[in-house]
Amino acid sequence: MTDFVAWLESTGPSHALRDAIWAVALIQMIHIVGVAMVLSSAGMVSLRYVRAGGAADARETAARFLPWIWTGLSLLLLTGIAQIVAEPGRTLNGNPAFQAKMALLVAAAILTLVVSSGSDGDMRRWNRTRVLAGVGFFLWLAIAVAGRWIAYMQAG
Amino acid sequence: MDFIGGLLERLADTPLSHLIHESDVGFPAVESAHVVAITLVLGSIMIVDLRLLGLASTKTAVTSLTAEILPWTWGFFILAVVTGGLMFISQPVDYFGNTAFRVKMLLLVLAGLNMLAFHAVAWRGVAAWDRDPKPPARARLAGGISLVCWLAVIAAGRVIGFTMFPG
Repeated sequence: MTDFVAWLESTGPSHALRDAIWAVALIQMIHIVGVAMVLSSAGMVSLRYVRAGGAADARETAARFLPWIWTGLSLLLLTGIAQIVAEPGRTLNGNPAFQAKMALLVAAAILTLVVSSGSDGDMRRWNRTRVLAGVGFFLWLAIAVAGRWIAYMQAG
Repeated sequence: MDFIGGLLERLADTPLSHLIHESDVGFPAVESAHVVAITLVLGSIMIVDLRLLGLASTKTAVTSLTAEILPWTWGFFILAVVTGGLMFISQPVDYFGNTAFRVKMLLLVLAGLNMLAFHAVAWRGVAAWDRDPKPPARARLAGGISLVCWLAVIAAGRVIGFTMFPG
């Protein structure tokens, strides 16, 4: 991984992004707006699952906010990759906050799939789906917090 | 020393200020809570602003959307003010002298004035356009100003981090 970091740091795009200090700040601003879109939309959906009478009610809200979650996640992926390319040493050199963030992201993705396939045919299973939806929101919060700690956990 | 300068110096010498400034995890912990709070303030306000602009949630009545969302927005805003205040206390002299910090405070005042104007003018007749997919121009204007103000607040906040802690 160290070789890869050194190589990535030496590439043209990495130089260009690092030299334009305001490019990194701008990318981070867009990243924060992406976080706002995902957290708030996920919060609306989770809240509806927790309060909902049935799956149809929850799915209506999910359908309204899922496009925003996808748009936000796309923004986050693009701006996240740009930040890694600009300063690969911050994240890829075994930064525990970055690793925790990636692991939590996988967990959140799996949880989202489980929740979105939940139905209210069986009341016990539906209640479990609702609890998982609530947990999902806190996973997204944890992902945002882990992201903030990347800056504090970087080597050196 | 002038009055404000003296006040800031005294604030910097409080135990709370030392605690946040000198501990390894104090500032990161407060800042993490601040980031979570401001993203939820921004995101929830965006949902309302986009509805006022007629760009999203157009099948939902404006008042039912605001009733559902704005209590959360206020809760997270209070959390953002408290955590922001704790960050300020950790280095009051530096924050007060930081241009991006001053711009951010000014933008917050602008956002507040826009909200007051919206409530005094457009909100009074909301019953007439509550379910309209595209609210009247005065409501769309308030939604647009709000959206721009809050995005600028976030941007200014990010610049504070870059200029207070370079590198």
